[in-house]
Amino acid sequence: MKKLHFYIPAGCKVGCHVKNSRLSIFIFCLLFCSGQLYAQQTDSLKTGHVTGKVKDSVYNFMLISATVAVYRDADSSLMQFTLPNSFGEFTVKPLPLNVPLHLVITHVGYKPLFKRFLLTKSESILDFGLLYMYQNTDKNGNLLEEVVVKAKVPMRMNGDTLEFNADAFRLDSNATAEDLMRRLPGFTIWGDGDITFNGKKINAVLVEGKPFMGTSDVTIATQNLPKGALDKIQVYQQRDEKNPLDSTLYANIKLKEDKKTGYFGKVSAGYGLSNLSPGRDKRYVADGMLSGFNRKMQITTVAAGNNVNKLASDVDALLRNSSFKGEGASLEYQSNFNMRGVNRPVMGGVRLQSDFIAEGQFRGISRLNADYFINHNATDVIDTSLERSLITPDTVLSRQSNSSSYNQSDDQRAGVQYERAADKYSLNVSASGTINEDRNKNQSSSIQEKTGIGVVNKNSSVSESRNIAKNMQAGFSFSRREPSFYGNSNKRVPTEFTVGYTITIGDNSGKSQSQNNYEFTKEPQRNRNVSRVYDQRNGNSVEHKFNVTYPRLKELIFGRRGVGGIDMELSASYRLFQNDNNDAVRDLDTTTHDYVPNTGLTYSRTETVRDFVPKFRLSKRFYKGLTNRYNKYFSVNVNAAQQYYNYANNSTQAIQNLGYSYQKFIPDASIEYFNHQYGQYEVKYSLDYKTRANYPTVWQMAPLVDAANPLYVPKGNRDLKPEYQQDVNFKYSFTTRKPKNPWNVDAGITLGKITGNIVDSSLYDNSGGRTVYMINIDGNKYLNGNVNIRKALAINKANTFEFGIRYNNGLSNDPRYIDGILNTSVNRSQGGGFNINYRNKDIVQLKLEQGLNYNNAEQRGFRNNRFKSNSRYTRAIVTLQFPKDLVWSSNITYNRSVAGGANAINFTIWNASLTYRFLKENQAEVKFSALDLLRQNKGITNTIKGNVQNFGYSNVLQQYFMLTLAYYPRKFGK
Amino acid sequence: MKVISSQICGCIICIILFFETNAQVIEKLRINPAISYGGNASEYIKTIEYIPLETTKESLFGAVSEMLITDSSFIISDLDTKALLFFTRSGRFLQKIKGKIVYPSAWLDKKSNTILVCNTFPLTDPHSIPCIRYSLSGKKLQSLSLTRNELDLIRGIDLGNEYTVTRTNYDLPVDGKIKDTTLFLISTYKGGSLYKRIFPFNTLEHQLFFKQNRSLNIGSMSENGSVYVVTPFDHFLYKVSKDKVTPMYQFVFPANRTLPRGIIESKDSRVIDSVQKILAHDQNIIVNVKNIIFNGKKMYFNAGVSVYPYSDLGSGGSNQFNFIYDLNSGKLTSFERFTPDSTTCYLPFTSLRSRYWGMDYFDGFFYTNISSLNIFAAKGATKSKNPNYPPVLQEYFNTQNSRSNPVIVKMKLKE
Repeated sequence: MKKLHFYIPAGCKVGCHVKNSRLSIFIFCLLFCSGQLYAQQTDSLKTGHVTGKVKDSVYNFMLISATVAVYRDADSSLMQFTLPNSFGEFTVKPLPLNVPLHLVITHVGYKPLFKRFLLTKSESILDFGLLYMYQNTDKNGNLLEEVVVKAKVPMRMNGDTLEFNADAFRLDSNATAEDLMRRLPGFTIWGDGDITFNGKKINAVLVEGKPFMGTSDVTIATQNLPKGALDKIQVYQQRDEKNPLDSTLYANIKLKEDKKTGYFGKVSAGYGLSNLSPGRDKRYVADGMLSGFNRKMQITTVAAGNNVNKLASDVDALLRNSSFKGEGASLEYQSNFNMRGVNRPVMGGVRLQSDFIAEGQFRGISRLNADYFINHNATDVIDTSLERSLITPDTVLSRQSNSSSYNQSDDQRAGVQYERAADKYSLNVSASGTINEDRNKNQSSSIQEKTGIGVVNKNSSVSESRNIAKNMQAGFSFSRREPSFYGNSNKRVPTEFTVGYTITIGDNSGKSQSQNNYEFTKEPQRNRNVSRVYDQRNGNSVEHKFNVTYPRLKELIFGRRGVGGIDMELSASYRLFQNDNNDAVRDLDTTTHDYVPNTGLTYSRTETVRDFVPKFRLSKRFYKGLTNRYNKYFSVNVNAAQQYYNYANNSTQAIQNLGYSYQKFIPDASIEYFNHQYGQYEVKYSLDYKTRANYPTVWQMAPLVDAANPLYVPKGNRDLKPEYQQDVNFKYSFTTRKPKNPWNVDAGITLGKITGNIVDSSLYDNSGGRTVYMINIDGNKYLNGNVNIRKALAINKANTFEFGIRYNNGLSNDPRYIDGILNTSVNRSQGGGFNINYRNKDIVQLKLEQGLNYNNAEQRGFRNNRFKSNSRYTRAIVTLQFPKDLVWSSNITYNRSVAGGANAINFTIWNASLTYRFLKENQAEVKFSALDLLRQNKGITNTIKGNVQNFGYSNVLQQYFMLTLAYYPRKFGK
Repeated sequence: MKVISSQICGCIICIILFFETNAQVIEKLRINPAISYGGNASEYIKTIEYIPLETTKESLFGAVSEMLITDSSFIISDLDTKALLFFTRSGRFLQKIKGKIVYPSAWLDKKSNTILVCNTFPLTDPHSIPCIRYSLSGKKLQSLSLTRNELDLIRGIDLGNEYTVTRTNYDLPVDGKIKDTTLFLISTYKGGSLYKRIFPFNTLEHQLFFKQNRSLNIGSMSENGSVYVVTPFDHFLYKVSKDKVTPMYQFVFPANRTLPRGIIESKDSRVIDSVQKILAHDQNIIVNVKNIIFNGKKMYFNAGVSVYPYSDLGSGGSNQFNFIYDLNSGKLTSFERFTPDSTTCYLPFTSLRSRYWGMDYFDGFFYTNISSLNIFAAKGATKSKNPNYPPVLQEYFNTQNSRSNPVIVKMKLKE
């Protein structure tokens, strides 16, 4: 065991030894230290408080809407604040003793009231008695407009909005909006990103009334906007006439008038080495983000490149992880040590949001969003795997494979969306396009053995391919709705409807070449050596989708009559898909040494799908509510849908000329029960039944046989029928609705079956070759369940805990034929885990997680032979900010994986970093990171499907050290 | 002689001018809710009584939507349970009426001293409105059909001497466009026959009124053969007798609490539509003054907005709605600025409903109602004040909880 020092926080007097499973000692150190930090801040035995009453000086009434705040004289920092009760009485506590303080009371329309005071040990309670406030009037006695109050009022009501004045809260000069929100009474920022106010989730955080940077991710705004640019944080309560306790919350960040334009960003570069020994590889990381905004437009650009498996799929992910606040305890944008190979991504993107009309107009939105993202990745992967297939009770076919491949992908994605909403209609127009280019080079070899025989065949192959796929989609959705204010007669025919159309055009072109060698130890006459070229593997497709919905069918037919309160809706969708494929294949003739066309695999075909689904929907909602007590509803929805499906395939390969038409009744239904007991809890139960048909493809019905591959011979089945899937889902959700320490439970069960499941029936020959027939079979069933429990506990303002437990269970019956024997594979999986999060303000954050997974596949046709595997992990993440600009971060994950009767594989991944912020506004950062310190990372594959178990290793990213420099350019206002 | 004649003529002219001028000048009452007086409850309330409404499985209801007070009962309309509930004046449960009534409304038929419950929403046939007659304790007496006129008569206000005053409802045309016509907003009846139609209003000149309100609020009681009505938006107070309409005062509110004259008198339908949208969300604009009660030199009234004040926070808490105006001194006092004290056992006595709908008045007492949720919350917050609860409240707190039925508050104000 090593005694590691550099991660030990300053002030921790205990030397901390870390062994794989002895994380608790390490964690205890931090808790001990953080406890000391907290203890230094406040001592509850040495505080006092002040009381009083606030009254209007002239009109003889108590000012219950005043704000009462206490500040420290020396630096005017806010100590505490409160609002008076309905009697005008207030108490402000706890307040420090022997510290000069002043009381400020403010109220809209009144002159502020100031009182200086000092609490001592002998006089720790001060009663100001009745305090009179004077209205702001001119010399003639007329009320003045509200003046800018010099004292910074922390909180006040402005109409129906609760406003927090950012300037009233003294924070570090580099604090962000998120830091401010943590300090505001009632706000809680959870580890999963949710923000609650008095226990109630805030639905969205807007900036100047609009989504910020075109994203719904709250952290983009809260972690980048500096507290100094904020004027107010507003909390809106959406009205509920029945119960003032119940409402929907939104938060809005208002910027100072001169800070409504600005930019912020991050530029960083890092260089490192794969390990500290000779022959090491170089590692690099580069990230850039620049975002700007003004009153009407917001634009963000991102770019990143590295060779350490840090991948992001969209602009949001890069934006989120370039925040001024830093990554904190998030693992989202870290090197992905589970990924196969060492990836070298280069990514970049742009997003734009522009608003054409001012916010505040009722139901008025006119907004344009556009974005572009490009992602280039290259990786070298080396795989080693063992695949075991149980083909009779006593016979296992094992294939040991090794492969190395180089994969390069270039993906581009662009989209634009315009949204216009007004009182009577809403319109959404969008267009997007993608271009994906993939290049692949692969080299592999495998040896297959059979129980009782030994090696039956060997295979080696070399291949190279290149493919470009382009896709363009455009569409619109238009809804007409009834006006929202009174006075509209409902005697007319209802004119609400929704109509939508999407067109998708795809273009695919590719080329490849390969060389395969097959060697059969017992049947050498079957040996093959095939060199193949795909001159083209092209495809073009066009898809049209239409949908129309008329929600007021009941009113159209029955007028305003009740009809038992049942609503009726008519809708229809139509999909037309046409796909042209062209493959041109040539194989090397070993005699002439020329490449000759492979007539078996060369083809041109046209595939057409027509899918029409009219749907009739009945729904009814029963509602019962009692003001101030509860709110319940029970709803039933039934959809009767008939699917008309037509498929046709015309090919130069005659066996692939086929077509079929089916009409399938695909109903679905759901019931939902919701019960909200005000001030206590909210519970929801839902049960829904869904059906769908899955139709056989031409490759299942009439596949083209590659005569050069004797190990796999597909036979197809032109009589294949569609499979019909039905499932029933039950969900349960419970949330407490008390202001503090909420907890919630989510659980669900899914039960389903597939009638006529399309599966393969396999016949194995003595040399390991497999002939596959596709068949329909009944008996496929599945049952899945899961439960998730989450609890938050705020001990006080500084210390918060979160606890979570999850469990999932899956069971499935998967019947198919193997060598003529019906074998039902019964697959069981169980998993779960728990997590504990602790946070002490911005100083310490600690996460502990434990996860487990068990898999078991039993072959009922083969004397219940089993494949088993299990895996588990234990993880601890610690972040400590001490002293002020220095952040210590460490995360350690212990993994254990077992397959079948093999030995367990254990490995521990430990990452640590030290980050220092410097320059005037913490705009520069230097970071030293050490990843996979113990150099144990392994890429493990461990799966079971039916009668096949797969266990293998891949090359993965391992240990590296890196030094990164970053600069955060930012300016708010002119 | 000539001199005397000319002097007499001059006097006559002056006298005529004097009365002419007086006939045209309506006294303006400048009401600024923001500078209304308040004080402890005991300074204004002479007596206060909390009457818990009995809570049983059958009598449990949501909230008081409308309340009818008779000599022997409270009749409460609840939209949550869609029921009418009868309680005695001491809060004991008598009867619950549920049925096919969509929007339960009840009226006291003074002639027969019975309660009439009619299904008026939606009004499918104005010549045959299904109704049921009940006793004051909720016993069903008969089912009957009434015409709209007959129902209006019953809903009208008794002026005495067989005269009844009713209001006229304006039916907005299907296409939403107001046609040029003159509508008499008040009708008086003698016996069952129409006596007179008074208070003419041209529909085109008062489009906002006819689109937003459609009728006048004539209150719930008469005084010395008259009722008091206030026109919405411009807030003219009239005394209406069987024969005539006499202007009394005009309430003038601060500019930020009222609509400009140009808007009120606008004939542009786009402007009116726009104003209606604003009013649907604005909690500050006073749209109608109602519940006018004169008591000696004092006038009581409610200044209503068009948006229900959903919470105590914001305008619902900072605006004032129910007022006492001293006609002699001009002093304005607001109920919302009274502070609970030992007289009220430190319990609240106004609610969100009383702000929006005003307080009920019967036989010299004001009535409001408070939810048990609020009463129990107030009880919990005022333990340190050691309130001295009367036996009724002690029993209530011992046997009930925050989910029980609301509590009626009955107040008599000091002269």
